Amino acid sequence: MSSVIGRIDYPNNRVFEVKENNILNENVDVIVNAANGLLTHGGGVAYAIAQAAGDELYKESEKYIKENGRIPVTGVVLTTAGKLSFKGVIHAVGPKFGEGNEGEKLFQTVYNVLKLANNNAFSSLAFPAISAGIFRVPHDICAKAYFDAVDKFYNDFKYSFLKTIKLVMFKGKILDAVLKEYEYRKNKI
Amino acid sequence: MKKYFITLFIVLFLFTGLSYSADKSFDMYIGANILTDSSFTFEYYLWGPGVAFDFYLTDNLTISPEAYMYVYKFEFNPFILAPAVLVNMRFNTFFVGAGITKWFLIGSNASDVSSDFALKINAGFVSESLKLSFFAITSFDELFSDMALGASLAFRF
Repeated sequence: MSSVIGRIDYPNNRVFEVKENNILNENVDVIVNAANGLLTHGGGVAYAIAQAAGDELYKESEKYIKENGRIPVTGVVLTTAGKLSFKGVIHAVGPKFGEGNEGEKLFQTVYNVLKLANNNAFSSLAFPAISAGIFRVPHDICAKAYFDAVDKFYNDFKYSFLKTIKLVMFKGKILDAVLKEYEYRKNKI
Repeated sequence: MKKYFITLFIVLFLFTGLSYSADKSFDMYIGANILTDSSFTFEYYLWGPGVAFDFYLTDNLTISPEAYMYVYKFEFNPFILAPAVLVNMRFNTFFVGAGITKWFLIGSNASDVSSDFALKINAGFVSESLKLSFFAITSFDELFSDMALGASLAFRF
């Protein structure tokens, strides 16, 4: 099932959408992987993306870590998308529960993702719920960070290459929290 | 899926409760555990103390409630309180079982402070004074694709 369940329009024909869908089915330039710092792609969204992308993504991830070491929390890395049809995959290392300042770190992670996509002249991007796995940051903190980051990005880069940002996830508690945040923001506009 | 596991758990509990025939009633353990994500790199880990019980339904079947506290490294605020209830089968010193757990975030200003119920499976060894167990916790929504893996060592009192 693919459906847009929230949409915020920004000046210069730019948009932020919330969608219920499988991120692998999105028609965008680049997708985001909720990765860990060693790019092992062991579970959740990371596993699904890596499996679909194939060996090339695993090899490139391994090479990156060998050459550069562990990616810190809030760090982002662009790789090719392997067998997937996207122009690239941005691996984003969000915080996990208990690290402290999770909301701020998650905001920074998403903001870094958007900046990296823009610097590479991608025009559309889809990102999943980052930091929402088994060691998740509370969903309301996640939802606020996602919206804040997109808002700041579109305000900081008024003529960005990146014009379509989609937050894509399956039905569940995190989607409920995102919709609650969306309704709150829509009513404020 | 969640309803299926909960129903299975309740049926098993009722069935074994009716056939109660154990020689002793319960054991209590106090110990500590550590858990990390399925990458098993220990780049991120939680640890903490806890208490666990084995209530004997039969000589080789226990219902094992437990409550562990988890902290990230040495950050004690906030922390997770993780109660769980498992049903374990004993084969001499070896045991294996499964149950459900739910995490509560204590000391956070977030409004969303509890997790969904998750599946916990465990296996390990028990002696006169020690219980060593290895476990996996996975959400029912992403069964075995998103997992926490851990180990606990507890002393019998």
